[in-house]
Amino acid sequence: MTRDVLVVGGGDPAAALASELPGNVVQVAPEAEEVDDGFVDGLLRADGTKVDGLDLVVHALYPEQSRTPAPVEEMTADDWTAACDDPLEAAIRVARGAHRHLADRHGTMVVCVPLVGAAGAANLVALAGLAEGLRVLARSLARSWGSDQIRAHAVTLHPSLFLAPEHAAAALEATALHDPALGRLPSVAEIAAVIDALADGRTTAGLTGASLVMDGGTWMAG
Amino acid sequence: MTEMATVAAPWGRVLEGQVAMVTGAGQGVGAGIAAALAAAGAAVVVATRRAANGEPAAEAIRAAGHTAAFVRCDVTEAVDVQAAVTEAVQRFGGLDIMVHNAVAPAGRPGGVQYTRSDMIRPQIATATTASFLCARASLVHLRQRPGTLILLTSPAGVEGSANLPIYATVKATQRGIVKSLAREWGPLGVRVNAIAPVARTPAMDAAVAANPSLETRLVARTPLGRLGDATADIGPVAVFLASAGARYITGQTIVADGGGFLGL
Repeated sequence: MTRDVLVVGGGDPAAALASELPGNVVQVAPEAEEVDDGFVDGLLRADGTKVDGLDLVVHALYPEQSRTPAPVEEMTADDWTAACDDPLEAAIRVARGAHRHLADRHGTMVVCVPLVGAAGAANLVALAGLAEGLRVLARSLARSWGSDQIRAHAVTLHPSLFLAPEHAAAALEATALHDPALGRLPSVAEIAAVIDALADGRTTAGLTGASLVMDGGTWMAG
Repeated sequence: MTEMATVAAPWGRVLEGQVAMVTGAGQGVGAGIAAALAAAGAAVVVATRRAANGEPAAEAIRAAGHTAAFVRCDVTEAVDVQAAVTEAVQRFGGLDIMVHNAVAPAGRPGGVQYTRSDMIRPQIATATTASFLCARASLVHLRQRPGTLILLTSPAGVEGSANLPIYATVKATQRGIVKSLAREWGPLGVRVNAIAPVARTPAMDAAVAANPSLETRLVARTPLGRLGDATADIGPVAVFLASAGARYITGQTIVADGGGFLGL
């Protein structure tokens, strides 16, 4: 079976995952504030689209403002809105728009979040808040969409997959993370394989609401 | 001490001389926390959007022999939050404890696709934008004491919610904010924590009125066998987190729900 896959988000990890996920994959990178309840419908109706339904939605929409470290006291209200509130609402709007299509296919929604949400990180408060919100959004979707045979999960990834190298080093220091137990971080291909498995009803039909941490054994907490 | 004060401040006046601001303190959990902080000796600023419930809440605290003042504040407006903090400092000489409790209505229970569209952004603004605004406005004062910031989240912000998915999402966002601010402000000596309560409040009463089996189901999953009281059960948790007894606690979510959620 060839899955129809929608990846929402620009830059990494969305772009890298879109290139590794099998199936008919469409990647879109909207501005967060442009995403409304009709966003997903619009994509499926668009001329020349590769997908005519949805088996898997991978959400990883993180604006540049979310990925740029700044102390809270130096942020403006507009900075905060762009870094946290707009992308949080965008994820909710994507979920609302995707529900009907995922229900038609008994599909899966996977939200990719950076580890800074679970671990906390100085100077990345907005990103951490966004990440924790999205992680629990996946749980809520799993709870309310289970009766429609839609499954939802969160996959937590290492901060270096979301942040520019110059920011990642500072974030790791501010997050007090351990070195990966495996001695390396998972490759994007390995992450994509797990997400693909989460969408595979033959192997994971009994799994929903999971919060998987794919960081090579960096975090290992709740 | 009055009976209420004894229950709300079981350790006595451990916050004597401190100044607290509590948003959404006109009723429910916010009012309970404000009363408990005042009973523990803090001068309390009751910050609410409407004077109709904020002023009576402040008056009730004063009538119990404690110190309180009402300040009108829409927590989603930066100007309001800054003005409320400034007034608290001018009136009482500083700010030691900032509690952000205000919450927007969650609307009718149902899946995320059924939430009324115009009820999404207000929930985000009241939880996340306001947490940011309260944090930013208070930091300059909290770092002088050093003081503490407390955000009110929910067990739903950990385990998710089938029927209140937006509420659960924004409450989870606050937990991420708490953990990261704890890391960011720890070097300044400012502690940041969250309380995830389940208590009988006017909002809870309304939910029970709309869904009479809700209370039975909630109590059935609660080992202590009852819903919490905002002043006697939740207020002292805030008092503890604000007190010297919690001086080594930061970045944590304290679940005060009678044991209903045991997943941390």
